Amino acid sequence: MKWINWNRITKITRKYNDEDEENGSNVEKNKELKITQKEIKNKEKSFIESRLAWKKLFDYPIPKHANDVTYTLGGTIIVLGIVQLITGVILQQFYIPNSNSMPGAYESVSEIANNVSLGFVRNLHYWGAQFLIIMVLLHSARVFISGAYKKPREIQWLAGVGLLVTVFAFSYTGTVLKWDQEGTEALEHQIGTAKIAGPLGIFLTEQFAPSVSLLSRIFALHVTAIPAIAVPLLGIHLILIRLNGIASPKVLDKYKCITARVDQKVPFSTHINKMLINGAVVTIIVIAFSLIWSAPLYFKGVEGVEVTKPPWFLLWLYPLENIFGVPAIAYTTIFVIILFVAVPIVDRKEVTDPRQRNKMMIAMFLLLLSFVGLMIMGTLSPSMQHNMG
Amino acid sequence: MIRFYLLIIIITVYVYFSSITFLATINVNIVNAHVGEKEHGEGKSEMHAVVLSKHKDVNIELTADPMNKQWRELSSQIDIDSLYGHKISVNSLNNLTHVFFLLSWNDSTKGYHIGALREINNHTIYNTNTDGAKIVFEPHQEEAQTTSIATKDDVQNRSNNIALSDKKNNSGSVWYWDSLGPTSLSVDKEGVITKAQWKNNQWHVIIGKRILDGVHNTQSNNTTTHSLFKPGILQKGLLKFVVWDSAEGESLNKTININDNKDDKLLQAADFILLPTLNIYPKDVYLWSGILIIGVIFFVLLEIKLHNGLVLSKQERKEEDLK
Repeated sequence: MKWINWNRITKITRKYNDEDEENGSNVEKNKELKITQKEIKNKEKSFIESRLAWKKLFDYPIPKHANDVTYTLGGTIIVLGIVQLITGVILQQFYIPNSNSMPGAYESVSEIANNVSLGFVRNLHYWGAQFLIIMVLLHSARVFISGAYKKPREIQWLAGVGLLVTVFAFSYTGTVLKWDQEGTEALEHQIGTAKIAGPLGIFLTEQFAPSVSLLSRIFALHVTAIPAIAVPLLGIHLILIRLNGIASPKVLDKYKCITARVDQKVPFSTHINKMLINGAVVTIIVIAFSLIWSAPLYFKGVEGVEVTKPPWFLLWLYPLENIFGVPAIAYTTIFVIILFVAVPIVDRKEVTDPRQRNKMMIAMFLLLLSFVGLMIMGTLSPSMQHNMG
Repeated sequence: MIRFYLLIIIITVYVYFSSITFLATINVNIVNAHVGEKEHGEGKSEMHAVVLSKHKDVNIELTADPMNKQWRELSSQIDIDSLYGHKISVNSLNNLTHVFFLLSWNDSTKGYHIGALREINNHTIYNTNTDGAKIVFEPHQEEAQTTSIATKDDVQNRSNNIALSDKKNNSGSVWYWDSLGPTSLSVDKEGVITKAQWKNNQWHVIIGKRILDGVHNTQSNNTTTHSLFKPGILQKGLLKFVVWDSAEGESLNKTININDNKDDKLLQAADFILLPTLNIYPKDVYLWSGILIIGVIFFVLLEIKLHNGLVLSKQERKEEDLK
């Protein structure tokens, strides 16, 4: 690394200043002076650059279409994730992760909900989670539609599927932590499902460590185990985006050859700006929701009683459970995860145009309609008592 | 290299399942050694059936037809054993101002009314026996959960006001119906609302009451007014149900002091919970579904637009072919 020779710069500056006083300004001299000033700036930049590789990380060229709003959903998700982290850490200070003590989990959540400031933080955490889920689903849909899971981005997609599962796991465990009627029923369903999963699910049953409240273990999952899975997955996801770049459209032309779009390039820093702006807009919407509508909290859970329905993001499982029983929850969830994992394996053609991927588009719309249709069915159907086995 | 990673993955999965199976086999004896002793030492508390009074937003239809949609779809039915070997099917609904129970039980005769003639040993006598049902409310203060509901403010305010208007102490209450009265809708001087229907060798009886105090009672000292109906709080062993069939020689007289003597043990007590509204945001499914569908359609259109410069239209294709 070269060091800036401040003595040289000072000498040149003095020299020109003296000459200026004697002979007036000179174009040649000014040029040399400007070069010197530029040299100083460059050296200062390289001082940061050499330590953080800032330019390498954030100023690499990306296609211009990456700055469309739909391509910035990933950044919005990260912004919402930060909101969740901050609000979660605050709530954690006041939450009692025990279902057996008095006051316990429900009482502490009631206290939080009844406190004006903490109640707002809780509302933010709740609505932030709702928006996070919808953003993750939309982001997955966008990646699917733009064919961004195709070679060489298969691992990126799989890491994304892992993150989708962790977001659902966060939301599910968060529902249980309230320890109201909805939370109690959610936990009973979890135990019923875990029994079906056999050895894989034993961690999630009371039998594994009966001396510790299962709610305490769910809390531990929510604040340690699930983040411990999510953070490395997010790291892999982001590193691969950096390495593989943002996907560009590819079509099959009339000569049956793949034609890729060569888009105008913009620096990645512009993409970050867009993501931060969009993230801020969504955060403002979340704040507005939190000010208007409180996060739900039902009465304290009564075990063995089933009167509520799952939250909307799990409601699609409810009609299936009504028809086929609790095992339907486990089997359908596994089936859907397998479908997501299979996407880059099934669709291996390079073409990304939705009009040239009819089968995949039909499959996506069928899945979407099933998801929405089942959710509406779940809303309209009367609540039922299920046998947890 | 890939083989090496595969080998590591296989070993990890194998070790994971082996350790889980091992832990499951020994049932984590070290951690849980003292738990078993505790369970044996303390014994289990008595389990009761739970009567759920589900919330209905609009007015509750006063129909004793158990096949009516509100009873069939909204309410949860539970079967409770009662005196004389009767099995009573209990449904309950509330709208936070009134609570209603629908009791159904088998009875092959419709019962007798006052003034009806009945011959016994060649003597014609007036029969005053009736079929009937009663619900006994016996609060157990020490067992009831004491936590307050923390749902929406209006539910909180309403729950504070809910009380049995005719009770000024903790002695409980009895709601009563018999076939002596009309089967059509009626309200007795205690304010108990009843309606009955005898169909297919079964009695179906609605018994209900207003549970929300009026303005006068709300302003009174709540500490002296016992609240039996607190939304969202499980009240253990609160309810007992009794029905009798006069044709079988059963009568109200035999059940009147049932809670004061040894027969009490014959009567199954049920836990009770009055549920407030459960769908705080029932329409949010439509909001998220709408966002999802609109979003996906928007993404498809945008992707088509992005690809448009690359795909030739039919006209352009023709022109290209002609060239």
